[in-house]
Amino acid sequence: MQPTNHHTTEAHVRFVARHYQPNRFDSQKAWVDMQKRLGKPAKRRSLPTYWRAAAAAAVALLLVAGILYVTGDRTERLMAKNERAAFSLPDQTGILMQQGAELTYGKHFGKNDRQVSMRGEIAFAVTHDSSKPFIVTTPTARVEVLGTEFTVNADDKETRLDVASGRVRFTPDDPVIPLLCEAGMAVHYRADTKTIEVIAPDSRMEINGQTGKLSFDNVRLEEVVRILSLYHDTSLELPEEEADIPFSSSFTNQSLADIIQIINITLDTNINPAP
Amino acid sequence: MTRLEKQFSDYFHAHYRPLCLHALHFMGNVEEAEDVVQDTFASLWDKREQLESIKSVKAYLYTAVRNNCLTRLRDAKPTTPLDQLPSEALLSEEEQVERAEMEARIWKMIDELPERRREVFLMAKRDGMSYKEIAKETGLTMKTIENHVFRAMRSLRSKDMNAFLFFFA
Repeated sequence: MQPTNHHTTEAHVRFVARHYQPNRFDSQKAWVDMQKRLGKPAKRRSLPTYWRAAAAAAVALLLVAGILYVTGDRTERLMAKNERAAFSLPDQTGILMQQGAELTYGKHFGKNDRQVSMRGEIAFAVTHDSSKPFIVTTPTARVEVLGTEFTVNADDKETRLDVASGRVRFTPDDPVIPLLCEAGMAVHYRADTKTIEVIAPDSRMEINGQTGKLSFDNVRLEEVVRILSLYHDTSLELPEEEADIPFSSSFTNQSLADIIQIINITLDTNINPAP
Repeated sequence: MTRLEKQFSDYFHAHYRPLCLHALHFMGNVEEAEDVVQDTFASLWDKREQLESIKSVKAYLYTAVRNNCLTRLRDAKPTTPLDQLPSEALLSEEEQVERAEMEARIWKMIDELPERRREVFLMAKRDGMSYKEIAKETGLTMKTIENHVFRAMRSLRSKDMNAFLFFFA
């Protein structure tokens, strides 16, 4: 069953299209039903102290399936008090918050843009709206969503991203290297050591902004060249027919010229500085 | 949440949709497929203490879903002749998992299409309508329809082929 076999794909597309119904086979929705069925409704626990502190600053409070909902003057704030807690944002984006997760968004969320800030672990099933990108900021990075399902786990020092479907643009604060992440990929960024680790099902890459180490394992040459360009803030060219060559190696603080030479010699490729 | 509960929920979220597609091949009905998958997870939940002793939970889930489907089909039509059983046995287990995962991606892709494009796409692929018939029905030009279907298929292919690659913007 090769993905390149279009006849095979066509048969699968027809099968799925024949049965397709919107909002079915949705794990986020089904999980909510499942929890009820397993007799594990979100437990209501006694009020912890910081709930009371938050309440003092709040205009209104609401507890929805384990989520503490705080309405302020300008922002809405959600805090997951219990185990997993599901919630729908005003644009119908579904979120699933792990215990301790917090999410804040502006009163005008959804009017012109869709921006939330968060910490802790939250899974998102973002509704599609190409005119209003969905943007998640964490203490150390920014995730821009291009219509998709993904999980972010963030504290003050690090941000982890797992993409379940669709595409997400992930930009660490330092070094600023925007990464376009697809289904099956995970990114782990640590601000203290400035390391970005990108893990795809068949490849892996690590960028260490502190030690200057770059390592690639089975990464397409096109992506390697893009990373080198961004990392060294210069422009490199790669012949199109060499884009798909897999590359594995690591470099520590070597000059860009050396790196290019090593790759060109070992792979017999033609990476060149852009004129 | 205990470690077992976390494991259970991870399996649920990772495999729910593909398992629904897997079940759909047996049941031929979305509601029943979803029902079987939820039943299967409920019984896994009852056995959660054994979760760690199951060698491959994923393989277990696919087999359990298939068996539960076959049981339901048998109970519904006790006289189904053998030669009318679904032809699923022709695919290896691995191929069935691959197929379910691919179709889960297709389902998700259709979910993510803009409404108009989805409508046109379903007319073409579900109803087997020609572009000409769709044009008549929707009042769109053939060119627009061709464009909608092409773009939908392209987003699928790019997911298919690039699911394992990544780009940097």
